Amino acid sequence: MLIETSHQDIIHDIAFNFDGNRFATASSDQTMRVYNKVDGKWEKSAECKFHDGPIWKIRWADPKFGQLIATCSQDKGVGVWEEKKFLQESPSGQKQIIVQWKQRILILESKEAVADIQFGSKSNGLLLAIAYVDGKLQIHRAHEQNQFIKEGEDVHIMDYGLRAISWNRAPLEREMLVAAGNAEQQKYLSKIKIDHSHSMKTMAIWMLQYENQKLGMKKIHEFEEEKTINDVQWANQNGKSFHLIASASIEGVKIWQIKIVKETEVEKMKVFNINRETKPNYQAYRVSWNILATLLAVSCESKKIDENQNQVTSREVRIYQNQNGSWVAKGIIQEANFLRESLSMQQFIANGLIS
Amino acid sequence: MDQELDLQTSISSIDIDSSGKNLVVGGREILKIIDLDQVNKKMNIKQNLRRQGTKLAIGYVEFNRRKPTLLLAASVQGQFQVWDIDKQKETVYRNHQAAIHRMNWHNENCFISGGQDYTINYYDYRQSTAQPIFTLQRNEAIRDIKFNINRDNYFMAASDTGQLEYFDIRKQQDIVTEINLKGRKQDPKTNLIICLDWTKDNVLASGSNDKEIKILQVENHSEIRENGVIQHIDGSSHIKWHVQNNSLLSVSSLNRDISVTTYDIRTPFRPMHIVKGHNDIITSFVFNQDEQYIFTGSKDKYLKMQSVRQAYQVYNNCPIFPVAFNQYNDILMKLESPYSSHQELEKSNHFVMNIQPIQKQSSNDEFYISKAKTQNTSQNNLLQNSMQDILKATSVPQNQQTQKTNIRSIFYIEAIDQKFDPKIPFEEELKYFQKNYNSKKDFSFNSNIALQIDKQEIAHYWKALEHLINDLKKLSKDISSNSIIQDCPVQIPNKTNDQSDDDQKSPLEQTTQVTKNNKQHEKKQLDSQDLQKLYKYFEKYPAAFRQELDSKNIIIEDQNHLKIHIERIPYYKNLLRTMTPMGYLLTDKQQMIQVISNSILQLIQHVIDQGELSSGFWMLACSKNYVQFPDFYARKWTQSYIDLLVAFGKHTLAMKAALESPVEQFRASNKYVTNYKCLGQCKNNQTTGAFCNICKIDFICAICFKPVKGLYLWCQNCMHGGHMKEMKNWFKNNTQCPLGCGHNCFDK
Repeated sequence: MLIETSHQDIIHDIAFNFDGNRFATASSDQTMRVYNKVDGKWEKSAECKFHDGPIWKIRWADPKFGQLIATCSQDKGVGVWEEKKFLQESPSGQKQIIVQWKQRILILESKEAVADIQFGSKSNGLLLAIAYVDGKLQIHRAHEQNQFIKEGEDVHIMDYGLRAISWNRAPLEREMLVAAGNAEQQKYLSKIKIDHSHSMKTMAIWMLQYENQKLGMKKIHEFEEEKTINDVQWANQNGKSFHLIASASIEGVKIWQIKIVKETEVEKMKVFNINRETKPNYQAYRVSWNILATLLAVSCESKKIDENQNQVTSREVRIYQNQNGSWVAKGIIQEANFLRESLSMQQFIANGLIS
Repeated sequence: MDQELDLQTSISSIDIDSSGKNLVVGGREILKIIDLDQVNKKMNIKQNLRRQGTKLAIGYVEFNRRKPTLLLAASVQGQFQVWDIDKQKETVYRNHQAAIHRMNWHNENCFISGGQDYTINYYDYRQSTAQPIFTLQRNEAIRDIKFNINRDNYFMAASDTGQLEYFDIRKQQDIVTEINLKGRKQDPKTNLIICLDWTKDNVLASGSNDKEIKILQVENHSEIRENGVIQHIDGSSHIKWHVQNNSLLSVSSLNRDISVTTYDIRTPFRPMHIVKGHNDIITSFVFNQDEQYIFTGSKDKYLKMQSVRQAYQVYNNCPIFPVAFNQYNDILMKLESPYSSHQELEKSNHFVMNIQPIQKQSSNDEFYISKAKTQNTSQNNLLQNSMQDILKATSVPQNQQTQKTNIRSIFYIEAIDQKFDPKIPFEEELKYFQKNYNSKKDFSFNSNIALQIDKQEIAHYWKALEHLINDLKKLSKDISSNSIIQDCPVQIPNKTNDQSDDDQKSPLEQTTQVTKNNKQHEKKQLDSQDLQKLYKYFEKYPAAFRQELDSKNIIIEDQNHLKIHIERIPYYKNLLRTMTPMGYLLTDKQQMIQVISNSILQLIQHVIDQGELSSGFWMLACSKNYVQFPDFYARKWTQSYIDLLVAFGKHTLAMKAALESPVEQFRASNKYVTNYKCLGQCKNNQTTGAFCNICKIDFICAICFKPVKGLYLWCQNCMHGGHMKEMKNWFKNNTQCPLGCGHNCFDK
């Protein structure tokens, strides 16, 4: 089914809510939109503008905390929205349900754009982790009057900047998240002097811990990954004895199987490299697990040379399924028209467009 | 080839001459000419124009475009100088009463100034006295003033209140056009326009404090119309059109953001690239002639030269192309076609949307072929549907000509797994979630249920579990005391002790280990005869299972199935290893019980690790009367299972599962959402009812907003509720949560 969004620019993120009957989109046109499923069809129910820059990511909180959406943007801000419904009587006496998205208060003093946001697990109150492009991470906690207040200090968790974070939502486990970032110095960030004798790891698990009632972060595991990670997602555990984490990079997708022992130690088990057959011109952008962690959707870009010796870039979504412990490609959905925006931005035609 | 110069004072303005050889820097205690070495791309301080002892803070500098030796330097105190660099001559003008914000050269000799004292002055440098030729008195302070490059008798002046005034220099006093930009907020602090810049095509960009950059076009010398808006992330302190490509516009930020951002007005939402590197606000920037380098002056006292190529390309690093799953395996992905030029349209016609099934490594070819056939038909339908959708979407721009250029859609595919595997419809899966297992019935009943939903492997495990439990029952009868079992709950042993037969590797292997305290086992080695006996002992499970199947006329499609499983699944061998001491070597029955309990735990964990959480949970529920499970595992599994059911909206089953859980907490609380919070102030996690023990408050009814004393009825999912009566009345007519949280409390 094709859903027209009327967004005016690139859509950067889509997220389903907990019940799977609504989804929200975040776009470069600085708006976020919410769609509801009504009688099998998707209808737009809300459109909000708060940011002054492109919105990178959008997330839903657990419904226990209400219908909450968080967005993060290039404009260095994070917006948290809460849906409020109330009845209003129209002059003719009919009752009407009014839906409003109200903004929650969030105070940020940041100097950098926000790369990713993530709500914490539901058992520990409403936490919001904010990852900045320069590698800092903040944890905010929701308090009374819909206000989010920062807890603890900023932690610099990735030397060359963060790209994505994902929370471990397994019950009865400590609050922890996996963070992934850049493999090399980013030009736009203030320079960091790092000892280059050891190679940089770009993916790590950080655990929240309270010391003297103060929130801190502790790194408990580093993955053997040295490429820039575009996206990372922690799969639902569903009672298993191990965890699965999928990461997308220029080399494709890896699934890391780890185990958490004694609450705070991580034991590495296996790595699945699930796209060997398509190397080397294959770059993965995003990954998404289904709820049972049996399917993995990967959005990727592959470059091929066609008959005319032109380089053809195609974007597609690949679906992988777990079959007896190995990951098998099950389907490919190709995108209609490849979006060459980021490339075409650099190849301008110098004629005037304003006329 | 980046370079920075520490000028030791805050820089407020920089300019480059038209030849690109000299750069002038003005600031708090500085007025310097900097030589630009074109070959080596270097900056060298060439000349210091500021006299010793004077305290002139320079606010604005500008080279004459036609005569690059002439330089304007305006001070914040209201006076300004015109420098003739070659002649080292300086003329000082003192006509303004307050700070001069901007000046602009008209031609090689004449220039104009605008300032805080509400006046615009026009001067001729050749005049002998340092007096203006004429003065325009305005009503507001002038923030910026710029001549139209194309028609240089016209200039635009921007005032503090967001007013733009367009003048013709020949008419002097008359305003040609005045434009009060609509949409500018009335708050005088935010709406002031700070900077202006013209392109060669009569297009003006105005940057303001309200974060918007407005693009205006002048038509027929006097008509001004708004052509577009760029939303910047900050106010703009300085704005500049690119000369090489006139759709590009660079802006330096005014307040918080320390960067120069370049936008393409064709894609107004997107910052194209961002130049950073300073530690304080960038006050001014210029490009060199070919616009490959940018010079930035900042309050952090540094002058920087940076290559534009090296700038942060925002859209090279941003997250794109999202995909999302929901619990029903519906998938969302985006489908975009940014520019529907002719080429793009042609391309879209050639495009084939397909979901290709990839069939690989099938152990049973025929089976797969038949499956593939059914799959193809369903896929063809899907393919056609989606093709139609896409054609519909792409044909829109053709009909409506050029106005609608963008297609930004989301592609929604329902239950993607069914597309690959139509054999098991998803609803069936839900039914199986919902009702089939029954902990009151015996294990063989549940085993048959697993068979019915086509899960032979799981049926196997149920059988194995049955035998284990039977063994356990026998043993506990011998000991004839249940309390002993209670005393020694099973534990997953720490992993050590690896004397495994390495031909069988499995995920389970690490966990199935012989308990270490088993000393007898260490002493006595098994001989081959014993081993054979043991194999027989365990082989009787599948054999018995097959007999039973035969007797009930249940036909498994693949006759080799069981055999395959025996070979493939190392479970039996693991079990064998675990139980070796129990069956033949151990005499201590209590320890035997423990070992069996261990095996049961590992069996269930193995089932769950295979992704069969529901089966695993019901195994747990069925054997809870015989085995004392460790609290951690029982809680984790129960919680995970309930979470899963809640996610699928199966609240009734979640309730049933909570009641069947071996964990007391789940059963007693009579609700499946555990560790939820007090709805009051304290956010206490341990609340069990409608009254919080810590904050001593009753919960408040969502309808009448009075505290509830007595029966409190609340939705298990959205946690909102109230008086029993009020709730009953409400839900007679409504299905949504009465508080308006949006939750559909009667959603099944």
